[in-house]
Order: sequence, then structure tokens, then C-alpha cells
Amino acid sequence: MLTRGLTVSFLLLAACGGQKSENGPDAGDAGVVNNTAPLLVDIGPPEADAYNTAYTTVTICRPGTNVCQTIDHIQVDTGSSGLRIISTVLDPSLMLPQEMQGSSPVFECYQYVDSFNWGPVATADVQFAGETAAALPIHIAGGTTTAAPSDCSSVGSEGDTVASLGANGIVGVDQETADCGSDCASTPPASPDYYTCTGATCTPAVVAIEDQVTNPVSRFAQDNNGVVLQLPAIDPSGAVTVTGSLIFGIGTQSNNGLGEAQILTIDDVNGYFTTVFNGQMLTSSYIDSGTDSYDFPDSTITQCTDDLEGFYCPASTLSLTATNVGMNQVSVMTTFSIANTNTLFSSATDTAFNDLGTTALMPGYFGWGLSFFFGRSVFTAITNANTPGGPGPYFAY
Amino acid sequence: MMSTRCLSPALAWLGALALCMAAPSAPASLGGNAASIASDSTALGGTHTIERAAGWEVHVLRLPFGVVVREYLHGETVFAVAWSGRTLPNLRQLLGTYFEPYVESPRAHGAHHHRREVTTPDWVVQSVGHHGGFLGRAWLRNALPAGFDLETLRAW
Repeated sequence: MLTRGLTVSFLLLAACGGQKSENGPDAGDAGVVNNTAPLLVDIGPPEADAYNTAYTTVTICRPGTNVCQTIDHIQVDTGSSGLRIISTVLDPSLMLPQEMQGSSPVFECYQYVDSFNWGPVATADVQFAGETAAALPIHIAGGTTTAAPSDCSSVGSEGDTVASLGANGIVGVDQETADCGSDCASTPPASPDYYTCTGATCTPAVVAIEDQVTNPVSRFAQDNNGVVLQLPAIDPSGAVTVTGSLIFGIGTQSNNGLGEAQILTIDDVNGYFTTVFNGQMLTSSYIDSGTDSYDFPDSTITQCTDDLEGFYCPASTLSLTATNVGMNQVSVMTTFSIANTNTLFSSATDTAFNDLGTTALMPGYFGWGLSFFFGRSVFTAITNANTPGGPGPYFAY
Repeated sequence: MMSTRCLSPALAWLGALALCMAAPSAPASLGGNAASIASDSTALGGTHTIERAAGWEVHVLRLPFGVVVREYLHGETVFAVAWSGRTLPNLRQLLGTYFEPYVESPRAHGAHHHRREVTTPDWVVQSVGHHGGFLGRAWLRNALPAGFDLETLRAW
């Protein structure tokens, strides 16, 4: 049985990047709310040394109170779902209530390709711009002395620091709502994400979908069917900082209509569509703001050497074309440029690049990373949510 | 020859519990042998089938969390492994002695966690994807059998 309300104080250090305030979320005016949060590409919080990473700002509050903290440099990721905060940036006096099953706290282990986040699940009122998700389950990365279970941790290193994540936290705004879904709600769980821990012993836990770490957009009172990432066009040589918009909702207000954007529906298991490039059918392709570059296979492009191995280094900038094909068979021809990474990275201050390319590590996929997002509005529609372009899940641009 | 071994969901659940409470100690596969594939299969749970190709065998493990692992055996050596799935398989088990150097290898640039490659003169590990969709593979450069095409080293 799940109970909430037990307040556990995380033993954390206050750190830079956040400020505590007693100003909670507005009660919310009836009608139109501010649905636009900042979207910033810059060098990131101290120690991050980031590039091609898009950030926004969140305010989190102890549920039902005006005890709040505003945290900047939260990475915006269209390739995951749910809000994760690095524990050391949290003000301990927030005292967020930890999610419990009986007397045991619920923990999550969340995997990335080369690392994982491990820590307790807590609930918070989460605010972006004028939008609020009340009592939202969020992931506190780190903030525990309990070791991660080997079933989850045996994929890489623990990534529960600002330097490792490259951000104070990350907000996943992909097409999913809960970050695991029915796989973690079935008995036994079909995914090794959630655990309850007693002392140092953790066992896999069944967690109901509504109690899983969840895409905050899906819990807003309005503008809850998806997001738009809007970044301005930038100079091909790079930019020091770029400011755009993270807009909530699709076709719900005057600033988030689909316009001429074309809809690519995706497979609802892995989120893939097909990219056709140079005669290759790349059937495991995706659009992902959490990836830095255009990540694709082209053996004819010169690769960089030494510590830039894996990046492309053509002698002069290339203009290329690929066609993205949704599960709905809609095709979108897309042009993009690939510049010499050595030249791009020779700037000591630039952090944003619209023409950065890496060679795909294996056959069968094209990853459309943050380079793709400059000069575009990219829409992600939540699964089964209604939009003027039909129900999600889809990408549109 | 086709051998199939199935664990019931309940046994797989127990297996997951066991994995959770104690680190696996079985010898792991990359660089291992047929016996190590069997111990992987036991440690990771799921079903185990064998596909024969010209000159090598592919042992296909279908794991409880929807993860597919393919282990490539030539003679007495597992010369390559590949995986795909909504979650990652236990790479400490799968990569064995190569896991620690893979994890400890320095990162070239930035803090992006959707792509990882470690290349040495002897072995390569490649891993990409995002939560809900992971792809990866690893191989021993000097143990690839003649005629093996890396384009076919995949589990997706």
C-alpha cells in the first residue's frame, strides 16, 4: 500500500544554482496562463562545461505550501520523461515528502547509455512559467547512502553530480507520461527501475503508473498535450549563448499552433521513426534534444582524430539531405549542414552549433540531436493526447 | 542443433531479486566460452536459442525486461556481443573483464549520455540510445573470424 506524507529531510548541502523563496506558484488565473519558459543554450552550471545543451528553469515547492526553490540550468530532454534534480542543488529546508510504500521509501534507478541516476522518489509542486504540476513524483538523483542495486547499476557509472549530468537537473518532455509505465506497474515488474529499500537492502518494487516519475507537462491543468522547443537560427560558426522558448501545449494558445509543421508519428515502444539517407533505411531513428549532434552513418565524410575521434571533420562544410518517414508514412525532406568540428571547437566561448556531426556508432539509426533544433519549432505530442494534428505520439517540425 | 531453455516468469522474477541482492559472480561472456554463455543465461534469466552461421554460432538470449542479447561464439571464444531493448542488460555480466576499463575510460567531450564509445587496440564497446530504446555492441578486434562482417553485429 502506498502512503504519502511522511516527510524525510534529505541530508543535503545547499548549493549554487538555486534560490529559496517564499513565493509559491500563483493560484492560477482562470483562462490563459503563461505557457512559455526560457530555453537557453550556454556553457551550463559551474563544472558542466557544456555545449549543445538546452536548459530551462523550474520552481519546485513542498506540495501545498509556499516553500519553494527556483533552479536554473535544468536540461530539456525530448528523449526521456520526468523531472530529475541533482540532490546537492536542493535546499534541505524544502523537505520534500518522499514517496513511500508502507514504511519503505521508493527509489528509482534511471539508466542512460553510460551511466545512471539513483535516488529517492519525492513529490513536489512543479512550476514552469505559469504552468503547475501539483504533487508530481520527481526523482532526487543522489541524496542517499543506499547503494544502487547491481541489476540497474551494472551499466556504467553513477551520474548523480552536476558535473556528470552537465546540468542541475533534467526534465524529460518526450511523448511518454510516466517514465516506465505498465512495465513497472505489473507484478512482477518487467523493468528494473523502481525499488523499495529497507536499510541497505533494496528489492524491485511494483509502482502504479500515477506514482512513477512523470513528465510534468502531462500533469498541467492546461497546455498538457505536448511541448514546442523553439530555438532561433544561429551563425554556422557557432554562438556563445542562444535564447529561445520552451512552449507548453500544441494548438492550445496563439503561440503554439502547428502551422506548416509536418507530423511524423513514431513507434510507441521505442519512439523510433525511419530516416532514409544515402539509400540507407535507418529504422531506429529519433529526434532528441539530449543528444548533441547529427549522429548518423556516412563513411565518405572525413572523421576527426585524437580527442575528437567520432566527430566529423570535412575539409569544407557539407550540405546534406535526408528524408524522415513517420509510422504514418508522412515523408519530410530535411536538409542539414555538417562543419569541421575542429574548427567549431576552436572557439573558446561558443557553446551552440547547428552543424555538428558525429559518426553513428552502429548501423541502423540517425539521431537528430540539438544541432537540428536551431532555426526550428520542434513539437513533441504526448501519447494519446489530443492535438489539432491528431493524437500523439508524434514529432512535428 | 537448436537448444531452447525457458524460465517461467516467476523464476525470472526470483532471478531479478537475486541479482538485486548480490552481484553476479559467474564468469562473463565477452572473451568467455560456451560455458560462460550458459552462466550469462542463468544469471540474466530469459530464454536461450542458438543460430548457426558459417563458421560461428549466435546465441540469442531473450531477457525478462524485453532485452535481446546476441553472443557470437567462434571455436571456444565469445568474440562479440550485441544488445537492444527498453533497458540495458547487465553490462558488468556481459562485458566481464572489459566492463571496468569501459566505465573508467575518460570521456572526450561534454556530458551527453546518449552515446558512448571506447576503442582500444584490442576491443571496442559502442552504446547509443535513450531510456526506452538502447542499442549496443562490443567485440574483440583480434578474435573476429574470417568473413565476419561488423555490419551484421547487431541485436536490432
